[in-house]
Parts: sequence; C-alpha cells; structure tokens
Amino acid sequence: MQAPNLIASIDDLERWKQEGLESLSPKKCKVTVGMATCGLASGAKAVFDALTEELSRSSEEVIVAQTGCLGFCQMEPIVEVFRPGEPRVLYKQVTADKVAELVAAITSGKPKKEQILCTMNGRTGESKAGAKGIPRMEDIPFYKKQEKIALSRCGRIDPESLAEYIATGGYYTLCKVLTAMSPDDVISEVDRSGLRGRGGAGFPTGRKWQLTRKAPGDLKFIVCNADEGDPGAYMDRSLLEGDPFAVLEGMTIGAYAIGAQKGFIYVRDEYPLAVENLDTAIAEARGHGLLGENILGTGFSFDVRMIRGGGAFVCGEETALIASIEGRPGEPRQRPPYPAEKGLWGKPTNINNVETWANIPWIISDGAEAYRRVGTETSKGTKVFSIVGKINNTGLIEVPMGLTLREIVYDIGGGIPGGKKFKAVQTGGPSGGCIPESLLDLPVDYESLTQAGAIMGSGGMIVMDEDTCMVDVARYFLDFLKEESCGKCAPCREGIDRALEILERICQGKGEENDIETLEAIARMMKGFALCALGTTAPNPLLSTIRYFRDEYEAHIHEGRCPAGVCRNLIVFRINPEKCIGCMLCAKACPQGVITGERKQVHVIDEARCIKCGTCFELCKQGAIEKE
Amino acid sequence: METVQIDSVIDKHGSDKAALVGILQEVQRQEGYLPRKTLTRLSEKLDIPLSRLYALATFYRSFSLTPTGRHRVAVCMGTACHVRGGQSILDRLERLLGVRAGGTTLDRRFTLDTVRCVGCCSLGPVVRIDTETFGRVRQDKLAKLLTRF
Repeated sequence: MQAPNLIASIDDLERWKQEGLESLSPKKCKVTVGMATCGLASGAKAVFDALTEELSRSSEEVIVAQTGCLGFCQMEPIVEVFRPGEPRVLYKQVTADKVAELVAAITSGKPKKEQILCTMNGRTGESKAGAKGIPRMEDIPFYKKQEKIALSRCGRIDPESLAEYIATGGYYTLCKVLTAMSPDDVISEVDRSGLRGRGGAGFPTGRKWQLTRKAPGDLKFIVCNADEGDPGAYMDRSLLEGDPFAVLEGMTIGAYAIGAQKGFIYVRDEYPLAVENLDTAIAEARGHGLLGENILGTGFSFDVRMIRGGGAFVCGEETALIASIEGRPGEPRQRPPYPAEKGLWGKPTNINNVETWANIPWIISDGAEAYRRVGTETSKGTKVFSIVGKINNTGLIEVPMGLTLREIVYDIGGGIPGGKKFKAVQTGGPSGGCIPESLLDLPVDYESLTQAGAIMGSGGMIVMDEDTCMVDVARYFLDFLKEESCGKCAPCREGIDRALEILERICQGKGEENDIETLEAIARMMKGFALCALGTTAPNPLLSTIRYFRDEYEAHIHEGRCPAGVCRNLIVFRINPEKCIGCMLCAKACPQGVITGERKQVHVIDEARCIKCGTCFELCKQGAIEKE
Repeated sequence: METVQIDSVIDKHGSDKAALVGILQEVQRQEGYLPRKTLTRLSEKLDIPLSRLYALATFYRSFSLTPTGRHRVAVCMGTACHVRGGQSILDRLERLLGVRAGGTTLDRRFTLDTVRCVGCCSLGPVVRIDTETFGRVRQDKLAKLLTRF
C-alpha cells in the first residue's frame, strides 16, 4: 500500500501543484523577503522580524515569507508585496526602520513609489502588464537584457517549499523522463542542445554523459561540483540557496541517463546557507518519493549524499575533488584516465557543475531546439555571471551567450561608480585574464574569451577602474594560488613561488631589467608542464596583464612609479595646502597619528612615518589628500 | 572530547572514508580546533593511521591544530573586496589585534583569519565575525565594530 505522502503519479504532482499555486498566489496579502546570503548580509533578517512583528498588529492578515536571490544584490534587502489580483511589487533597500512605513503603504493600498524597484511576474501564469507609474522588471536596465533559465525560480519561490517548486514546473520533467524517455533519448537531447560545462572548462555535457554511460562497469556515480572557489563568483551559491530542487532534479535525470544509483554533492564549506537549504531539499525529496528507492513509483532508484569541502580551492578540480570525497588530501592526479572512465573509487563518474545540472530540466522540458535558439554558434544557451568590483549595479545576472562585455558592464551593470574610467574586466578567476577597454565589444562566449587571453570560467566578472593597479592584480592572483596550490608538482609549486617573488619586488619598486622576460618564461614552463589546470592556468592573469598593460609593468620597473596609485612603496600621500580647510578629520582618524595641524590650519603628513593605509584619503571631503 | 562524544560524532557522520573530513569538521566546530588527544582516539576508533588524519588536518584550511579564539574575525580577500580595499582592512585589523592573519590574540578573544570570497561582493569590503557578515566596512570604524564582541 502506498504511503499517502509519496508522489507517484501525475495526479499526485497535480495536487502538489495546486497547493504550490495557492502558496505562491494566496487569497490574502503576502510579503516576501529576500533571505539569501546577500540579503541577510544587508540586514534582511531584521527586516523579516520587523515585518512579522508589525503585521501581527495589523487588522488585515498578511503572510510573511522568504525567498532566494533575485540577482540585484545592490538593492538588497528586497521585499516583494503581493496583493491578490494585482501585479507583484518589489521594494528596494528596505531596512528595519523603514518597515512601519512599508506596512502602512501595504495596508492602505498606496504604494510608496520612491522605494519601489519594479513590478515582477511571479511565474504563476499571471499577467505581464505592469502597474501605473511603476516600471516592469523586464524593462529596467539591470534586467532588460537578461534571460533566465537556470535562475528562473531564484527569488520567486520559497527554496524550502517542494510545493512551490512543483507549481513552477518542477518534477514534471523527471516524470516525463522516467516514464516516456530512454536513457539514450535523454543523452541525445542534452547533446543536441549544445550545453557545455558551466564550471569553466566548457566541455560538451552530452558527450561527457555518453562517455560515462559507455564506460564498462555497472557501478557508476554522478557528482555535483559545488566547490565554487573563484573569488568574486557566487552563482552556484545563489542557485543552491534559491532553487536547490532544480539541481536535485537535474542530477536525478542525469543519473537515469548515465546509469548511476548514487550521487554526491560536494559543497564548499564556506556556504552554510546553501548547505542548509540543500539539506532541507534532499530530506523533502526523499520523504516524498522523489529521491531514494523507487522514485515516482517507477522503480528507478537514486540517492545523493552531501559532502562539505574542507576549505581548499584546488578541490574544485575534478580529480582533487574525487580525492577529497575519498577521504584524502585534495591532490589532483594525472589524466587520462578521465573520471568518466575511472573516477570515484575507480568507477566511472560524471562530474558536472551546479549551473550545468540546473539547466538540465529546462532543456528536457523545453527541448534542445529551444535551447539552441539562444546563444552563439559554439556556445549555446545562457550563462550566469556575477558582476562585482567597480560597478554600479553589483549582482548576479543570467544572459544569453553572445551578449557583449560592453552591454554587460554598461547597460546591465550601469557603468563605473564615481565617474571613474573603466580599465579592465577580469573573468575566469585565478585561471582567467583581464580584458581591456579596446575589447569590450567582444561577445561573451567560450572561444572569444579564450582568444582574448581570458577564459569564461565559472562566471565571475570583476570590473576594474583607473584606480586598480594591474601589476598588483597579477600579484594578488599568484598570492592566492600560492596558498591554494596543493604542492604536488614542481612546475606549479616552484613556478608560482618564483613568479610571485618577482612581482612582489616589482610592486616594491625593485624591479629589474629582465623581469618581464623571466615572468614570461616561467609562465611558459607552467603552462606546458603543470599536473593540473590550477597550475597550467595560473599564469593567465599574469600573461593577460603583461599583454594589455605592459606600460604599467614598465612604469613600475623603469620609473619606480605605480600609475594607479596603489603599490604602497611607490606612492606618497600629501596634503594639498590649497584645498585643505583644516577640519582635522584626517588628523583624528590617522592610526599612526602622523598628521599635524591646528583647526583651520593647513595640515601636514609626516611622510617618513606614514604607513600609506589610505584612511585620510578616504575620509577627506575636500579631496585635499593627493597620491603621488 | 570524551570517548562518548567521539562515538556520537562517528555515528552521525558514518565511519567510511568519505565521512572523514565531515568528522574532523564536527570536532573543529565543537572544540574550536583538533586536539591531539581527540585525533589519537579517532585514529584508534576508525582504524586509520594518525598520520592520515594529520595529512587531512594540515591540508584543509577548515582545520586548526591549535586552540582558536572565542570569536573568528575573517576578512574577505576575494577579488572584488580586494579592489575595494580589502588589504587595508586586514592591515588595520592586524594592528588593532596585534596578530598576523591566522593568529589568535593572547587573551584568546579573537582569531584573525582571511577568507576568499563569501559571496557578498556587492557589499565589499566584507568582514565576517563568527556568523555575522559586515559589509561596506571602513578602516576607521573597525575598532568600534570589535567592541561588539
């Protein structure tokens, strides 16, 4: 006899769907707070609590709910207000002290236009018409050129609600796969879609699945690589926090296609909320027959286990990840054999990134042809990017492949803050490179970024301006990699050390004549001989900055000058006597107490004792502090 | 850690090799570091050479072999925070606490550490203290921030 809460038929799914729809579009008023990590860091918990408190006193019954990240992190905390029959309204930068006002606006039915970001379509079949005087989400610059596939539910559903996931199309695809498609049908569809690995390497996903399926042996594994380590990249974190069921459904479809019964999700230790939401989703799915034995009553069994990373960047590399799951230090090994042939415990293992798995349900439900219509010739579909650094609209975006960097930085990103000049956009993390202004019209796809000396990478895009020193950027990445290198092979271990030594000398003004040539030689050696991709791609930031910003290197080496005013040994902070008004702000804040001056008298910095921390520079409202 | 507690940790995580890192993380969470005595007992219970456990303890950043402070101050050194001045924040904290990154203050109140990207790049530069994340941190406001802990 079947347990009542198991989902084993379309009818069961329909019941859950109804429940989910009622939850998403209830007959009462509902406010939803963005409670992903970016929201929480901006104070969303306090807002949630204040809303609950304030609304408990109102005569109207209002539901208070939570959701994931909508991508516009700059505007967090974001609160969605839903009134039955009306378009959903998003309020921006809501702080706990503004809650009383907000509640008054909600209950009176008079929205406060200045605090509204836009209206939003909640994916429950509601009308796309907006509200008078309020822009629609798809019309505002940040969202206009985006196209959501992987992130389609993030920020629109409660990530812990299985019902809401099903109401927005979830698990119907798995049902179709298990009852009406053969494993070969599934692989064929994924292959034709042109989906390429979203973790960075861009290997054709369908082909990888095929290789693993064909590998000899009955025991096979699939893995979700959620060890998102590139600094500045948090796409996978948001996906796991905002729509964990999509990843699970994708993995289950993959397991069916490949012939695996067990899966592992390897999550970075530094993502506690992602781990928590994933845990909840796994338990929910298992509890309702969507994971584990006899899924959806079809006889197919598959279960997952979550493994937390130990805080090692290198474990994002697939063979290091395998070692880590096996309980060993995360040291990569030689390939071939590739994991598809010999992976976990020597068995065929298919490893894919979080975003790759999240694309699978959509591809199967909407079809390979629909996916192919988006993107470029070689790079189909969409890609999620995090745009961060010196950019006005910081956040997470999903765009069709082929959009240009200029559109991303200026149209979506809103350009550089403070009226500063754009210098470069860094993509691909420590394995990537810096792309200068002259190449901003490059379409974003795997091949064009690689040709420019960068890589697509996992999707982190760090925008840099005139105040960023490109030599310091190269030094920064090598410093990062020195800590994260596993140390197993000499080319990486020694190469990074030597290159870093040289860069540190250059940044201190002690550069030597042949430094650039030596750095290039070290780079060639590492690219040719390192054991794994951490080592072979480590020279990329260095090489791309030498390629496009050689003048900065030469200024450091030959003139002892840092044009961007960053490298401490090469800059001097001075107070311009014509601009100083003697307000004493800097003198009071100086941690070393080296600024002297009476009130209304011009101040002076004791250059010999100045530690170049830059506090005075940041504080001075007159712009009187100058860097030379 | 008492033998009884070690047993419950092993029960919770499993005793297969894939559970090793998870077990060590649990000990780290409960004790604040990996005491030698606990590692020795784990080695006996799981029948794994102590050297193996030390290999894991010294390879992964999550672990400390020395006691850590009551509060963990982690400065984000991700690229986005770096271009927004993360290094200056770290330098100032090193001076304020009198320890280098990775060190613990003598009174064991704070451990200063770096972390590469907590994913709050829109708020850079970011400092995480225990489980709270602070964004748009300014050098001159740090001393006051620390008084909260």
